[in-house]
Amino acid sequence: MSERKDEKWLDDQLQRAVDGTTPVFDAQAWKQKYAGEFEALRSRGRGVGWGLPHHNRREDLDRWGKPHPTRILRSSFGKVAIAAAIMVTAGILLIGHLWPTTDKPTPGPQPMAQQSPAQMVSMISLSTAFRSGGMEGLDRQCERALERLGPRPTSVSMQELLKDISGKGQERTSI
Amino acid sequence: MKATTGLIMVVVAGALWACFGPVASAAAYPPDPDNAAVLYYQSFLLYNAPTSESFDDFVKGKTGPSEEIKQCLQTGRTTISYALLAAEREHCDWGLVYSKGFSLVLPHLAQCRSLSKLLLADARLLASEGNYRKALERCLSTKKLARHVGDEVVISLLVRHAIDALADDCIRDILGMTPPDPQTLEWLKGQLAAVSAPQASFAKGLKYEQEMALEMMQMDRLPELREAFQGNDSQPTAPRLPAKIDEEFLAKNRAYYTRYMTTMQATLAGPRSYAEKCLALRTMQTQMTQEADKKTDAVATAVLVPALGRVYGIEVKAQARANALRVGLELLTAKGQTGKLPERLPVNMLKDPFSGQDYLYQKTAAGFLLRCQGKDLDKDQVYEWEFKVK
Repeated sequence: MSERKDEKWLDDQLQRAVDGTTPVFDAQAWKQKYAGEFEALRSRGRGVGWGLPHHNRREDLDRWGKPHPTRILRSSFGKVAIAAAIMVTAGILLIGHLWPTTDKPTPGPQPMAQQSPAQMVSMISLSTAFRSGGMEGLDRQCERALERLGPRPTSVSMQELLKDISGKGQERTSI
Repeated sequence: MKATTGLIMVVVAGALWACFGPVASAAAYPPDPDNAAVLYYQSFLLYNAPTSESFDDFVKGKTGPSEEIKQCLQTGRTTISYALLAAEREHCDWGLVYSKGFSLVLPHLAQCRSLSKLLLADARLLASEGNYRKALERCLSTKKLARHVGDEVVISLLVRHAIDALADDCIRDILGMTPPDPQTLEWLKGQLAAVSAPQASFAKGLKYEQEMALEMMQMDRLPELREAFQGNDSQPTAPRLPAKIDEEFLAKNRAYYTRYMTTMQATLAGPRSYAEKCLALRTMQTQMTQEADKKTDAVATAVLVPALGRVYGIEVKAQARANALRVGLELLTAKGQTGKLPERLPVNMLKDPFSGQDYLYQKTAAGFLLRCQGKDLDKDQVYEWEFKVK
């Protein structure tokens, strides 16, 4: 079953449902019947180019005064040029993606933010921080490590500890 | 008869003491720890380091005490008391696990740096309230903390110098807040001499590090070696270990490392001037870095050897700063005794280690300046220290 056959079947059904004749659009009769509206539309079309298509020398220019894209598309040279541009762009993108260049980002070293606090205060990390940034670098590494290691409670009461051990906030505990 | 009774009573008392005296002392609580590190660790656990920049500015003497800083110091009272207790201990063992090699963790260093700032903030607050002697005592405690940080590994030594520098700056500022008192200055000179001994040196740190590095460059320690290199991952240009490592690779790296470190240490221990040593260290380091790029023998050395030229510069700067403070104290003592600053630097003063010459002494409207005659070649900088005098 093709789509065309389906449409034919539907057209037949519609014809029978309406009056059996093929409808014909009479443009002259329509213009005479709606003369006022037709004239209003024509006058908008002669304006700055907004609204209905208009027929003057600016038809091939867009609003910025450049050749309208549809005009370019209509010319065979334009079609060829656009097709070539698409092919070149696609080619460049494909080569850029597949070609193994040295600039291609590789899985880099572990960023500082991903280092665990223990790694941050290891002798090798601290030495590296000093090697790359001197005392300031070492100081920064210490500060960052401290941020990751801290903060710590300023006081831990015996009562709080007992609560944690018993696991019951309000219950009295004796050891 | 009376004499016999007295004798019996003495014997009975002695017997009673012998029986119950030791029991009483055995039941007493144990003495406070004599290892300073144990006390420092407790103060670390209690301390919430402030993150505001205003706290750092106050520690460096750039601003006065605010309510926030006073509150912060009030909160840190227990921490300070534990730190002061620790500072008075002679012995300090941080319990570092050296057998871990370069994966050894040094979490106390960041904490010590933070704790030193708290102590110095307290010193500055005390000074702002007119308690100059107590403020100076806080500075000395900070210097004791610096000494406790140790010099077993080069990084520890660097943190020690950094804490010492902050404490010396604070001492200089406090001395400028009050007219020089010869008695206090004499006391301070004695205290500084005691705190500074024994002189810190990175020769010891290098020796330990060499031992640790060579132990790590063995086949059975390969995972640890790789782990150590992972700590270096944040540096994109840093040398990497090859994927395949065999005994030959490690043997060549051990040989290169030993040769390099031996030459470096001989250079440092030699009789050359600061400038000559600095140039020699720099040349050797450049050559080694270039070789590490070309051949794998130097890869481990490039990663495991500290930046010795830079470390050396920091050590000499620390010496220059300490000497300048001692010379400054002599000049302040002269001011305290005679009522005016000397016109010229007295003879036989400690020297500027960058040049081996006297410091350049210059009187200013606020006091005086002591300037090095030699330049820090690593930083391309000439250092000077300002002393304000009331």
